[in-house]
Amino acid sequence: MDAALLLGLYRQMCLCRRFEEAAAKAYSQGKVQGFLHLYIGQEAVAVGAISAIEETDYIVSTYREHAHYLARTGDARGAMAELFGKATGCSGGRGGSMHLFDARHRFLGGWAIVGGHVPIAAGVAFASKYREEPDVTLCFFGDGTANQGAFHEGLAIAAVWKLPLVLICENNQYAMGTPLYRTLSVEDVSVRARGYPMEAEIVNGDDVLEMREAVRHAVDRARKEKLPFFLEAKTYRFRGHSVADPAKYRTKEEVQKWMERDPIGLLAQRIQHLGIANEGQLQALDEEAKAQVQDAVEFAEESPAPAPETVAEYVYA
Amino acid sequence: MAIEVTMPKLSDTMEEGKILHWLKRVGDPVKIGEIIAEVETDKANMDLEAYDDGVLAEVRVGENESAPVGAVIAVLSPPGEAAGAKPVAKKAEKPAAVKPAAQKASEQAPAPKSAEKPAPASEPAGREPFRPQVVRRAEPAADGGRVKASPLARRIAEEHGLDLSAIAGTGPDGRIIEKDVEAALAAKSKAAPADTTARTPAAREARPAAARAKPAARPAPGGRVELSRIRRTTAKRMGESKREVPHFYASADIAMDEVARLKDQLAALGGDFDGVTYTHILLKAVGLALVRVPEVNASYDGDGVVLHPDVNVGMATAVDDGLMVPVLHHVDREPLAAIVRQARGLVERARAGRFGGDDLSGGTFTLSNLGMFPVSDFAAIINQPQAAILAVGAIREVAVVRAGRVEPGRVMTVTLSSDHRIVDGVLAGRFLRELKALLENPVALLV
Amino acid sequence: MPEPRVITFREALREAMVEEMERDPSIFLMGEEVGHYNGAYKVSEGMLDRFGERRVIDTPIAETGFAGVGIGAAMVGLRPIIEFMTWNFSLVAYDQLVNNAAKLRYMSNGQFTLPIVFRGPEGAAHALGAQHSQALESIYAHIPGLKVVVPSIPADAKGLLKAAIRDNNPVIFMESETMYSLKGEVPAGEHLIPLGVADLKRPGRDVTLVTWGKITHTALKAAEALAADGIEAEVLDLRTIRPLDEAAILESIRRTHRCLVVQEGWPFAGIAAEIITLVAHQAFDSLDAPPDRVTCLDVPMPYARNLESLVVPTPERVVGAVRRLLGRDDAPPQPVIAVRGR
Repeated sequence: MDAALLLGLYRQMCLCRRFEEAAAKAYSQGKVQGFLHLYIGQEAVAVGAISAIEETDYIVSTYREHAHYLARTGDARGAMAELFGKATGCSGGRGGSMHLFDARHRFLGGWAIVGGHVPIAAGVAFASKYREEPDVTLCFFGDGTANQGAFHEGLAIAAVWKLPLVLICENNQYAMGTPLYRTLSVEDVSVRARGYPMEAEIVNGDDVLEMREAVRHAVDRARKEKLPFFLEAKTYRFRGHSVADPAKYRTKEEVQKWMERDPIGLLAQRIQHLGIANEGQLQALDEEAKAQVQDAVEFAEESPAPAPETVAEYVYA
Repeated sequence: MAIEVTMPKLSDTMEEGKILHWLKRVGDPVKIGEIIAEVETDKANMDLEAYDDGVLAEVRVGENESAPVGAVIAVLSPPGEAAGAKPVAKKAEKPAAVKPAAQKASEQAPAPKSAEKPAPASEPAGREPFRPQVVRRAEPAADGGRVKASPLARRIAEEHGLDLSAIAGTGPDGRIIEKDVEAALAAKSKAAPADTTARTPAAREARPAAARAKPAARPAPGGRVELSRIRRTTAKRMGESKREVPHFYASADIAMDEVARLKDQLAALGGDFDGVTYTHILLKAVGLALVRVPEVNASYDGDGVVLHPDVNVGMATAVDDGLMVPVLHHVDREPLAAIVRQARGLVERARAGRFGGDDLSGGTFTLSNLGMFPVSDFAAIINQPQAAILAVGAIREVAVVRAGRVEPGRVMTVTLSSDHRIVDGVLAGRFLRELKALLENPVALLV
Repeated sequence: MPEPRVITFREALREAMVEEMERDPSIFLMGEEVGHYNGAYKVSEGMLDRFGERRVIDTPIAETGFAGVGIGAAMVGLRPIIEFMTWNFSLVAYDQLVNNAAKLRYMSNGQFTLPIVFRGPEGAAHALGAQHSQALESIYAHIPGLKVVVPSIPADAKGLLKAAIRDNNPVIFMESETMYSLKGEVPAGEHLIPLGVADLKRPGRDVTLVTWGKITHTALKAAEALAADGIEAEVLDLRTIRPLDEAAILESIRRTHRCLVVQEGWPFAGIAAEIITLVAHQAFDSLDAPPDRVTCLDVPMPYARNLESLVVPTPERVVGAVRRLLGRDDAPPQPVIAVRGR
């Protein structure tokens, strides 16, 4: 096992967690506004998946995308400044938490209508195929998306046109505040993929290495055979749907049970078990992540707001 | 039920306001939306609108007095109830610092307890009856209502000083439309020139002021003199013009030897030419120059240039309480003798404070002459919406070089201020070239 | 100058697409039955043979899906032409157009451009019923980030479609089933008309008929009829709804002093309302009559032909409205049929 890789994954997951904790705090202080959807508890999915792909592969994500953005770009400053609505944000303060973009890193959003981005991801994959380029597109979405028309149309087209698209369903058991069993007629979202048909696999989304291996396999197939692939990552959201959601629809016991398999804790155990690092060394990595986040918060606070005279810019090219 | 009128919050930072003027007096009926007072806030002087119908029953805060936002400044009695019917318990009024004695008297005589005597009757005789000032652009009224006219018709009527209420509309529902105004204009140009009443804003503003003919107060050192309405209008219009109109200036020196000779000869003729002045000759010359360069005889209306069919030149004239611009009509067509006559009549009416008819309206260009002072040259502010104004300095005895020889000569410097949105330097130059040619060879002025 | 030839509206559109696709390999055509079927209205006839399946792509009946695919492809540099069999079907892809296409550039702070054309027919054809007869330009023109083009003649169709394909913004391009066979002179080869420039289709001095798309022909017929009566109506074809050629509208109204907007589509919050606001505000002092509009009646489109012809603007209704505007005594009264649905 590659020690550097494991420590790198650990540090990234810490960065995601610490970033969101700081974002929640800033929200409570009124420095971050609007909607803020936290990813805490699901970090292994984003970090594992994105560690498995090439820099030239594309990522299309949802409104719960801080971790995807951080795992792809490492740019805590740009993300935090965006949450603060500052000109230095990765979307210039025009996007906000739900609309992070970074064209250079092929991070294509940040989309906030459930399912609407699935056909877009198919389109990005279509472009790769059209231009005979080897790139694969990763599309992240939640379990609630599985009932959306756009989701099905995206999958239908990806299957019939054999697009190099890897669809990653982050099944955190809740579609906003409603448990999945009340809204989904099947237990596993992935069974739906099979009807298109599309190869599908269920993964333990709390295990960053399992996630990484599954995505590597899926991306490999998509790249070589120009075929879509569906991964369902079972995971859990520790916080509410957004910071405004007290998540009263879940029992304390349920949350507690899932928190025992905190993906960051699981990885820490494994690293220590393998003798790659001790607790103190892991803590040092976490401190590093905290410092990076603290720097990002300070950067965001000190950054200027977007200039009022730019309000009408970028409506049209 | 009495309706309380409170000091409104008229700016984001306003905490108190000062009543500058009450435009209504106790006993006057008040309608929703009517301006009842002028209030000075920390930012500006604002109109105070009535929010209820009623009759002004009581004034609690007098002129030049201040009150905090929200304080009761006046009381209205509901329409139909006689003013003063309900004696108002609180009589919080303090005498204001500066009040005309008559007004003070009226206020010191409180409204009688019985409802029989309405407040207006308590006004002492001899006091100048209050007349509301029209501050806004008033819609001409017919039968007490609004005249129905298309915006275009309104604009044309205003440009030509036509009274819309005198025009019959042939559009849908009797609306006055463009062709109705054009027909009225055509009829007017056939009829006697003074058969319509001037309706330009300037005329409306100026006439009541002139009619009052208040002697101007000479400011005592250290004191403050309230601007007259006409002076205020002048101040406002001059400020607007200088702010809004991109002025540029072009000057020319004009040899006046020939004009001086002509003036002497004409004066010697007497009769119509009795009292002929340089200004009269200048008016004629300006009129002809404007015909030759019609683009200067124009107005900017926001989207285009209006080239005026007539050449009517106003003369900036000082009167007791401000600046007036009486207008001489058709100076291009009228012979010089007629111009002298017209100008003389205007001056007489100005002295009497009794302008009338078209005296103040229809100007398309303005002349400002300070030649009677030791002013060699100056630049004037354009009289909006005209395109240009000509500022005339004194005629000076100077040494001129003619054919290589130095000779004594008489020279006058004129400066044309132009609205650069519609008049370019070349146009200004052409106008000055024509004017110079006409004045240096003034025979043309007699034709 | 290339020599003009007479071709149909449909051929003009096809020429535009073919010429642009030959010029730029990143352009492709995608939609229902654009390929093997040769186009539901034969606009893309022969294009599959010419360009192959890679660039002329039949889609499933999944507007959200293929509209989204177009957006994704455009995000990373392709220049898709997405054909909706009719704009009525675009409504199931409305989220893609409004939430995604229109907003990407803004939300990403200008990191992405979206060169994509959505095109197809719209409006009433012949007895297609309520769900297939809608003129929808107003709901798309409402959205900042989209451009909306509605040509009325073959030459404009070609020049505007070529410009739309070259534009780096999402462009809504609206045609009409009833115009595809309309013939007109069209320059051969390169012929580009910039978006946002109106065209005076007929000069006049008494009233300006502001119009666009198919209804331009209704306005022209009305102008013809009015001319016989000595009324000179100017017909201004906007060609592009967004960006709107405000200067051309105002210039015309300031000359004619009267404005009648003639549009398909419903009156409520329609484009006529927008234009009349503009005119009332910017040309107020030039107006000799209140601006007015002739629109579809405020009802879903009925099937029966007699009812359908009541709903759609006709030259007679335009003539009547102009006569009322001019205060002609013999002007017919406003139609008694409810302008508002009950």
